[in-house]
Amino acid sequence: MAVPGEPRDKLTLGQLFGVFFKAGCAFGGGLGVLGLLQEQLVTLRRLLSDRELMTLWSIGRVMPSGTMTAVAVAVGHRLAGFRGTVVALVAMILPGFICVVVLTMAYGWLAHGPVLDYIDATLLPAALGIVIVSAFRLGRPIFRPSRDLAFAAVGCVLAAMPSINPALVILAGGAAGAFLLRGEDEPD
Amino acid sequence: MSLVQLLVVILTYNLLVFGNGSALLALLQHRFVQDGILNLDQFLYAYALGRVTPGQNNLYLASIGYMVCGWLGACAAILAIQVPGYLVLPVLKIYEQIRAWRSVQGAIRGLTAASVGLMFAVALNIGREALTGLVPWVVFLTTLVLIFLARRGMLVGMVGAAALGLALKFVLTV
Repeated sequence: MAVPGEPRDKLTLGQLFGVFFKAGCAFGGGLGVLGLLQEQLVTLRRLLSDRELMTLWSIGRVMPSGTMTAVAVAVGHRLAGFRGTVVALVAMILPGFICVVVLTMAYGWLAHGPVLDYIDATLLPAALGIVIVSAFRLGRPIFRPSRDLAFAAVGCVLAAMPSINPALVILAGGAAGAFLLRGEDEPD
Repeated sequence: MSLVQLLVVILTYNLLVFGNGSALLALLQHRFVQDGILNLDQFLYAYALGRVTPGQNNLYLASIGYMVCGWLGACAAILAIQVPGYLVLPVLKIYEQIRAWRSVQGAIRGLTAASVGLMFAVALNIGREALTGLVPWVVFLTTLVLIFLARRGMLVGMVGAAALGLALKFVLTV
């Protein structure tokens, strides 16, 4: 596997901005953004593999920041150096930031009206579609009978419990993997 | 609350909760609502915006920042949640040095597998909240059809399905 932090292929800052701006337009929170990034960086441009993106996401998940923030910094740095980190972050945040601030300015009109309910009832299910598609695409390498699949199943059950911090689930997966998955053949 | 206080509060809480959105929400509610900086209605409105706008859910902090200190507050809040992301660079640097170790390879595989599980857990949680009637199910299934069968891009699939849902909801309401 290539090193997630290592510069390999480059993008111009404009192209990088375009990729992350498009990803930042996705609904469904960080996983929606990840789905769009997977489509852009893995499927269309082949700049990363599914496994590399998933590794970056896993490392980002245990950082004391938003997961996609860490992913944007890591990918931006890899593809365009330090300036790439700034461009990737700004581009990814911009669509949501503008929408949030504009809707906050409209608080007086929207707070007790039906508009937000309408958006919630239509965009959230669409975002769920993206989240499921990206989960299947990014999880593809481990979908075969293996210890990795067992780890994913246990991780899913634990993370679904509201009392458990998801970051701890992932850290525990890493700690257990250091003992139980060392030296095993990786799933293709 | 001054701009600097806003920045420090959000930065500190963000670092404290280590990526746990629920814990961050609880801390923020305590600081902003119980201390009377925002009322509960404003706080919940800000939080709701994170769900109905594109991008990461934690962008709702821009709304809180705007309510407290205007545009500068919104920018400061976003800065406070983005800057810690740069910690990933030294972590990746260290990872490059030790990635050949078998135990590190195992740990990364464990992290990755648990992350896949987490993605499905998140999907389950969103599904429980989102799929509550006919229109949400139609939107959800249309999204999958557009992405898988019609081979449209994710963004096109999502926007197309959501537009269909809006039209359907409007027709059913009228």
